[in-house]
Amino acid sequence: MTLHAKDLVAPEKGQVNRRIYADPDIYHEELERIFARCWIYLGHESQIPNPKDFMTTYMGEEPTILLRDREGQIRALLNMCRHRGNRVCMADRGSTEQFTCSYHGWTYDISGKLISVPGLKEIYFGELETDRSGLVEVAQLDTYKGMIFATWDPQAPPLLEYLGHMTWYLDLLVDRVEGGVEVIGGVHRWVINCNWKLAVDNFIADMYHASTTHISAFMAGFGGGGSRRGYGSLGWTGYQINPARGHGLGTRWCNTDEERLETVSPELAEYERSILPEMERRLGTVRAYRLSPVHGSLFPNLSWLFGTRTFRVWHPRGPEKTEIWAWFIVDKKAPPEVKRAWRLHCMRRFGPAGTWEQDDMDNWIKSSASGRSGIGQRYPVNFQMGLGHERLHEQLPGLVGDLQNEINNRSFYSFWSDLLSGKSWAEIDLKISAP
Amino acid sequence: MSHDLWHEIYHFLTHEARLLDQRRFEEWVELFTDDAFYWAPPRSNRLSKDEAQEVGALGDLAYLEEDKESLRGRVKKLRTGMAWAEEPRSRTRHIIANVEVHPGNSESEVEVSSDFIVYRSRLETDQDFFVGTREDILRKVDGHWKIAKRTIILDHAVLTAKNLSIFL
Repeated sequence: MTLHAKDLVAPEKGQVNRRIYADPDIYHEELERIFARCWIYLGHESQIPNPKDFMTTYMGEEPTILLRDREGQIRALLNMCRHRGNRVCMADRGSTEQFTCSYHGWTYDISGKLISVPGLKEIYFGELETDRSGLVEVAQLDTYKGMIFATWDPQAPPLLEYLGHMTWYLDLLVDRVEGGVEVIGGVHRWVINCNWKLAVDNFIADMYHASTTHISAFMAGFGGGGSRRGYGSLGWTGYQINPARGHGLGTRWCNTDEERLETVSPELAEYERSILPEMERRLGTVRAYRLSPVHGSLFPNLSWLFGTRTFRVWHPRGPEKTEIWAWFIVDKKAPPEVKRAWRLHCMRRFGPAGTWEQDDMDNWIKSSASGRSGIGQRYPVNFQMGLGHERLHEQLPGLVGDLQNEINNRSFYSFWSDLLSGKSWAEIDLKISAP
Repeated sequence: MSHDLWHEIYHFLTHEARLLDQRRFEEWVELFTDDAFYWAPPRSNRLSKDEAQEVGALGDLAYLEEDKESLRGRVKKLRTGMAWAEEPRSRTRHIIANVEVHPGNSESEVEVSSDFIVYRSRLETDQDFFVGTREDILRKVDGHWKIAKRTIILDHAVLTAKNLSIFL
């Protein structure tokens, strides 16, 4: 089918045809042209600390084994036996010397090499090309400060180029202090009947929804940061920042050090205050004192909240289904009582039982379902907030809009459109141009 | 273990279940002691050699890790009329079974295991089953049983529900 992505989205006008949330053909094009081409987040180094450690995940819908081989090198392998296609690893995580397929006993070592085939001489006559039948390995794998990404596309630009200026902001999640971060044990996993892009639409851009969607959580005492004016207030100063095509974040801007300290939850205040001098040494004054970032998202499907430290992938499971995997990522050197307080703060707000997150779900599910509406498809989804009010900022890499602004949604769909149109990487500009 | 005690505990658990299904949330919270601990760890698929790690450890990310104050907060949230996940309310049915009662660490405490199937219906056709087991410590306070500790072990590795906005 000839897909005219350019007919489905008009990011320069802030309009998107809602059909992209429900159409199975578009979904399959996304699997091919986005999830098989882009850098996809797999896991964090702290989740596979030792040689032979493995965890299973997905790149799009591709079941993938993320592991450390015997030499400690990180690898990512398609979880698919080369004989009939069975999975060779059925567990979520663990430690192993090899993977043996439960069907016919083909065995692979943890670098993916096919090392044993029952009856190789007797029934295959020694004719099986075993050295070409190893587990399929990703085309490229790289890490950014402990975050492991991979791509199936050998033509994809290097990871750092793909991340672009987003790395400057990612440091506020993963590199504030010596030792970086760790992902603690445990993952929230749940399935919603919703297209994956609704979740990204929210996490990449949406400060606007908090004071409506999450109002009951505020009223019941499950507030956000420590500001007296309350999270999501339309009166806050800050920016939506688009640092590279398809990636985005939103941050408060603190004009004074006191304002910066106000953004922190009371139970974390002492720790956050104590690390500010180190943050300033490592990251500079703007990142340490002026920014208090809130939300962020990397194209295609990795999102997080900087303060709460929930960190999640949205696994696509069909045009109208998404499986959410959410972890908690925290400064490794934070004292145990701070980590505990932070973890409780995170868990009581986010996750399927989270007092905030539970109220997001129907919004996204029903908005996603509007993609099936024939009448609805005549009326575009509106991403026009702040259209035309983008500008450069002296101190912040990327293009910025006001704190309530849909610049990042527009950038997401612009990049999405380029990829779906079948353009090669060479034809796609990853950088943001000035307005 | 006397029949009377078992019946007392069984009656307590069925009454608790009915309070939840009748949405009498304030009364339900008061079934907990002031120092209550309410915990629902996640569950993973592990090879049988790693079975000990199948259920999340204390200190890991969990679905719920609450005290009485946070449980009260969750009830308060529901009563705002703007808790959208429960506006309209879920319709629940807590089926409690396989109740076993054992002596606790003191005269006033018992250890109780019970299994649950909680059915949840919401909006038009949203339906979920939450299935698992509870390990409770019940304590007699002023002549009444109260829940001092509840550990909820769900049987799901991945929840197939859009949220866990109800109490288990």
